[in-house]
Amino acid sequence: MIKELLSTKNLSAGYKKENRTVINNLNFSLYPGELVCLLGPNGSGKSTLIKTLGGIIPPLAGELLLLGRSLKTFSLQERARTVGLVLTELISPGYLKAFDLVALGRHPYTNWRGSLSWADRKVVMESLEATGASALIHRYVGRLSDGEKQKVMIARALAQEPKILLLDEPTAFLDIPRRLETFRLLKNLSEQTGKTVFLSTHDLDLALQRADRIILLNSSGESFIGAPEDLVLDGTLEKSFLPEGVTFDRERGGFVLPQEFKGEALVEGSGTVKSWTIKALERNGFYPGASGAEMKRGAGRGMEERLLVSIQGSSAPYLWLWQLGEQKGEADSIHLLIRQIRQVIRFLEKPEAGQP
Amino acid sequence: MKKRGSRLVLGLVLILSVCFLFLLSLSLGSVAIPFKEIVKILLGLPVESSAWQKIVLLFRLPKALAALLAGAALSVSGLLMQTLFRNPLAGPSVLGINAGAGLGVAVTVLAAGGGVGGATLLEGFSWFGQVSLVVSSAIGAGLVLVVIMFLSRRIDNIMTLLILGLLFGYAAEAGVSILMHLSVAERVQAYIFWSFGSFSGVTWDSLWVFALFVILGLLLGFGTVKQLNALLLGEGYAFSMGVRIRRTRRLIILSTALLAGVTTAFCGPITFIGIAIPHLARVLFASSDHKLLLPASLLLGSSSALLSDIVSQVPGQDLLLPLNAVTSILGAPVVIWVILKRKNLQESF
Amino acid sequence: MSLLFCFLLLLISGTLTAGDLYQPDIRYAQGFSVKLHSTYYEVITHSSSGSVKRDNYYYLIPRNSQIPRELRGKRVIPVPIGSFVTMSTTYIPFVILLQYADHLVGHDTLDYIFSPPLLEKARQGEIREVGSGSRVNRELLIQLNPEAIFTYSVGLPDWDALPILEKAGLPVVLTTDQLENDPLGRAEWIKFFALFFGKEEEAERIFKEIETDYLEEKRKASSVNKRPTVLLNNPWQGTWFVPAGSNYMARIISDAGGKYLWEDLPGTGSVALSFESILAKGESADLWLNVSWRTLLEARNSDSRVSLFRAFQKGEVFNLLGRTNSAGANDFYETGVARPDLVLRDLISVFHPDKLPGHTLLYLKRVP
Repeated sequence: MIKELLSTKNLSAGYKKENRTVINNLNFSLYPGELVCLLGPNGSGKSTLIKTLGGIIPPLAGELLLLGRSLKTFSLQERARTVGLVLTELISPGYLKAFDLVALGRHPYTNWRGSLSWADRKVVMESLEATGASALIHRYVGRLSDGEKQKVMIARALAQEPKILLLDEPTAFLDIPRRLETFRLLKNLSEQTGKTVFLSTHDLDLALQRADRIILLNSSGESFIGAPEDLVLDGTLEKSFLPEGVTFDRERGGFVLPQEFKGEALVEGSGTVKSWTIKALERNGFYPGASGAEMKRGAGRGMEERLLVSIQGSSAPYLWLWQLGEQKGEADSIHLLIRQIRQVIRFLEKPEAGQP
Repeated sequence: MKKRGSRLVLGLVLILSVCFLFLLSLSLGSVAIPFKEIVKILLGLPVESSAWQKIVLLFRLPKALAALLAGAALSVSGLLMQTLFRNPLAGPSVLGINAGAGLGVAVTVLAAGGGVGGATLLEGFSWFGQVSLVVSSAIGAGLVLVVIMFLSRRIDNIMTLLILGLLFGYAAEAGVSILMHLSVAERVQAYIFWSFGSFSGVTWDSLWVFALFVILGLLLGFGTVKQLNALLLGEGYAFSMGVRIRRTRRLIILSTALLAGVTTAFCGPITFIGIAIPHLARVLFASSDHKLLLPASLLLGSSSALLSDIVSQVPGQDLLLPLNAVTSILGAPVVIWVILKRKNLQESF
Repeated sequence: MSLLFCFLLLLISGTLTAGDLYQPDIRYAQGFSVKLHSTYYEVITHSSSGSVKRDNYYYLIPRNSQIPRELRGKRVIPVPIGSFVTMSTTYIPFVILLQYADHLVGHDTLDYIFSPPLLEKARQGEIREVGSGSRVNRELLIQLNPEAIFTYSVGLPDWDALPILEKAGLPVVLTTDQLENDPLGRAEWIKFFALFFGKEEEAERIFKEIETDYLEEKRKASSVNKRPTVLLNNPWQGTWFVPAGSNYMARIISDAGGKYLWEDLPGTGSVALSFESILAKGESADLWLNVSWRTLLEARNSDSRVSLFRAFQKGEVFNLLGRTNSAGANDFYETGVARPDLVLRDLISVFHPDKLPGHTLLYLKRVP
């Protein structure tokens, strides 16, 4: 019994004509019913890999197996029935209705004219339902919003009844709610239909939340595969993005913009208000607790004094009391708190300041 | 569905308009022949005037059929080119095949036949007559086609092919200019007259060859209807759905070459119909589906060719207008109307 | 009266020498006029560029005489001229008839010359090829340094040699003989050239003969009962270009006792008509002239519908290839211009064979 839907052996991909190898010796497999995300900085070859798996670009070296057989043994039609592709660009032929566009996906099954049988129509409708786009069938694709277009394009790929769905940055042009929706949709598809969904994306958070596995490519052509949590814990994720100059915070599970270290902070309080206060302080260079001390050691500079903040009140409205060295203050919003602290720091940092 | 009903009606209207214009083309001309007589002649019944019979059967009928075939050929090939290159300005002449045909004719008319002093229009040239004109035009078109087909194997990007085709067109036209420059005024006149386009030059002997190639080209073109629809999403998606891209390209190019090349060979280069009609079809049927667009373009194309021919004969006067001038005058407002209605031609793809 | 006096003077004195000027009487030609002044000729050719009429003035003074004061700054040409160049074969017959070929140094396209003696001269390099239209060889012309370059204009700057020659400052003399619609008018241009060659008397004599002959034959042909109907030219891509009623061809056919079926068309140029319109009128025409085919087979190959014409079926089809050479030169466009009487005879013998028994066709040829 074939377990892997797709597997690669020492796959190298790139552009033959330009003599450019983007991916080197990639080995991985895809199994039914999983959602796999392809992550990596720009230029690491995500698009190239998707297009190679989709057959648009021929692989430079190595093997690509579908359902246990080499891709080369597949006829065009067989491959179209196995792999569905969704690319980034939202193409919209003006006079095509959503139903007709999705119906194009039945290409590998219809006769020479492309006429739809009753069974074909059923598949088209089901694909539209699966993506939540049933209401759009009579609308012209050119007039749809980007999110609606994306759903229609995914439905079209589904209409091919593929076992594998390949998507190249499907959320690139979408706003946040639409991105969430897309991920949820793709996750549902993989869980409920047993299809494998493989997509490349820049949405790290969503990928970490939803993906069963992640394939991480870095700019030197290396690849790492595993469950998102594994890749976070063993530091792979962090290392991959370090050359880009971005830091990955393991605790938070997100990227942080390195902030100039100004000093340590000590925050008194609890609950959500405390964590959001800490976030605001960090944004301005004040780090609490152990990490703060560590950072101070690492940075080798910053203020001697610690910033003390105490949060009053158990629910809104809160009151923030702060003290930095000799200076003190109180604020009734985080905004005010930060402003006051900044004023003090500016005052303290002035070289010709007479007063300490 | 309401939409389907109205499309059916529209289709019927198109078929009727072709029939109507065909009969109109038979009834109008410099000689006034009553319609009843024309019907009699078509039905093979005896008529009083043998002159009328000759005129209808030997002149008007082949001319109308030529217009029918040419209009269908040009509009379908225009549609094919627009879809293949995903460009609203593409037309049958975009691959340089028409220009190649023109060069073939130019070589025959302008260069061959030796030096002729103070010659009348065709002295020394018409050795093979109509045949040589058609043959040289077909050879010119064929040569360009061969080069294009050869290049299409080696070129990945379809846009590169488009640019090459356009360049071939320019090169061929430059060749014609040089030949014109080196030629006698009368020969140049003959060539220029050929370039006006005309359906009147097609006789029954050549009509069946014309029809054969046009039908072949149409069959080939219609046979790619599924691939054409897939190409609406671009070659990337089409390929992922199972379309053999290179093979499809070749079929489409071959079909266009047959349709446009043979029309130019028999009727001279006819402009506008190939570009304007597919847009008109899209707007009228509000569809990008080639199952509708191919037959719609065919019918609209035949209608427009017949109409242009009728107008160029200026019924009532003994005046003749160049066919290309009429197709442009009739075609330009249509395209303008289409653009204004759609506001964005690119959207039509 | 004064003309008669001049002629008597000529007869007495023999040849006219420089200094003896006379006022030529131009009866048929419309394209030029001559005004005699006391010591010079004022020759005007009437041309038009587009719809704008343009007169070209040439002042011919006797050689070695002083330029009169009133002619300062005007186009003065001392005659008889020394070397000259011709840019059209229609001038050649005049040059030959007036025996001035020794002074011809250049011609536009040598292949178009029919006259054997002139061809021989060309072969010897005595007549150089200067190129035609926009491809005219200015440098060669400057080197040849002729005193006059006779040329015409079709009114299209891209095709004419005229603007190029004028810009180069070459001595151009513009003729408009190709626009003459009267057959005798075309021939009368011999008088024009005579002024430049100093052969006024010869020109008068020669033209007189031609004119007399022409008018005599015309008179004979006019006394016929039946005039055969005539169809002209052939179709191209289903359209016919036929001469209008006042055209040269239409006139000479009428003079020869034929009936050109489209003589009612107004104008002097050609008209484009549809094949069916031609067929309707010309199907039963007696004769079909001025086709461009060499054989009837060639005709049928070009458009099979030519066999619908009765004239075709009876083999009464003629082209103008009676006097041509292997290079493609056609004498109809050469001596035919100067000798309308010969063309007329050809036509009469075809229209009314009884009037000219034993005549062999010169320019016309029955298409085999």
